[in-house]
Amino acid sequence: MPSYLLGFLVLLAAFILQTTIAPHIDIRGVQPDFILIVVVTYAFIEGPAIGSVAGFFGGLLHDLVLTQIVGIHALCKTIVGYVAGLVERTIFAESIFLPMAAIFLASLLNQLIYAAVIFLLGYEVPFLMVLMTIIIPSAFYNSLLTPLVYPVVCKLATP
Amino acid sequence: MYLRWRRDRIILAALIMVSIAILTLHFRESEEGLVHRVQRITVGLIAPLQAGVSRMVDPFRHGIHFLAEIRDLKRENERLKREVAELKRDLISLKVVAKENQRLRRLIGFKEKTTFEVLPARIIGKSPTGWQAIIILDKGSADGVRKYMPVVVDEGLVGQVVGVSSHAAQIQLITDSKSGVSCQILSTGERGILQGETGGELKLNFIPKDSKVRKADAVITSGLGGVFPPGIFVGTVSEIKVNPYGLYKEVKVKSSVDFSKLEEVLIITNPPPKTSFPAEGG
Repeated sequence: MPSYLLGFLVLLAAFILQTTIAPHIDIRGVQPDFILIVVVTYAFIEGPAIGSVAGFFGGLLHDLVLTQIVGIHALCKTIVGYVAGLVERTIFAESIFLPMAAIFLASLLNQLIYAAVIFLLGYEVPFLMVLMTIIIPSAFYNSLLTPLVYPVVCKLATP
Repeated sequence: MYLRWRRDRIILAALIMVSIAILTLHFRESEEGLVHRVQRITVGLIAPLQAGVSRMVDPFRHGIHFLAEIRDLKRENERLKREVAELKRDLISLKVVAKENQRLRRLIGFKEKTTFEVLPARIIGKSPTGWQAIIILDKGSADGVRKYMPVVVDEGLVGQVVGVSSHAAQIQLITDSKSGVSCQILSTGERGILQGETGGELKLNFIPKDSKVRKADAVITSGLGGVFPPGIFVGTVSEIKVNPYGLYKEVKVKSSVDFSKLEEVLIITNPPPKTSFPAEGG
């Protein structure tokens, strides 16, 4: 199977998990972002170009079903995919802790860009409150799910 | 190496531009525009899948919740017994008041309050981030759901329909920071705009500084703007602050609805006709 098709199917699977399972495993309103974990993992493996393309399509799928501002997640995840791709392969290590830390940072970056964009769109952003109740908890949650998602995506993505 | 670096930058710039273009198009176009149509189709395609998984996951989720809550059940039981006794007393006095009310209504010729037509719907999806308070219901235009229809539960107001596909509808909760509902403080009669805040709190804007509003005062919809019928219970005043330099009081409202535990809601299918009132409608 061509690698781009496989990549799209993995992204689609993450999207289905996001829309079906994620709402049922929220912790105090914070849900895991399966799409982000997949995008970042792909970026680590394939580099910034594929990372940003995966981020764009993953974010767009997310926007079309789960938000009222279409394009915002596409924008955030494109940038995060690119940045994550810059550390391509250097993150591959025997330990899972490096990818966990990297996904923690990628989640923070994703949410900070989101906050900046919605602020520019005219939303009120009480920064300290959202940092403590949304940004940091969701980064922790994504990081904790990394050992479950990362090895599976790595196995599928590397020939 | 340089060529690859340059190619990556071009791809990034192109995707950022496309994202911004989609964002702009979505904001500027009408409900019948391309992005909105694609969004409706995607929601319609994914809704059956969400409904199926939701049905599969529900028994497990309820089981886990039950186990987590078992230690609180005994305490809750005691509290409920006391509450039942109090409610029985209240019920008797309420019956007396209701009869008196009915009699007075007849006397002064008031019409009975209109009964809403409601459509029950199940929640099959929720917005994945805390930024937006959006839920997805399993009823859509095929069931008669239209944009701007109010959504309620027994406890009070939930939100309004902001997007509809054939078998699903997107609901903007009143806790969404872009939501605005014209409300009234029951005790003082003053009207304000109820807005959600990121994090799920509610604030009632434009309440004059000299208002006699007090904590625990009930807040209901005023009916202005034509989206929400008047008299729907929203919640109670939880906090009042006075800014010495402001024109208005800062009034926080605690919704009577526990949004984190919502599973089923009612869509009011015969709301008042929508009028253009810029402060309401979110």
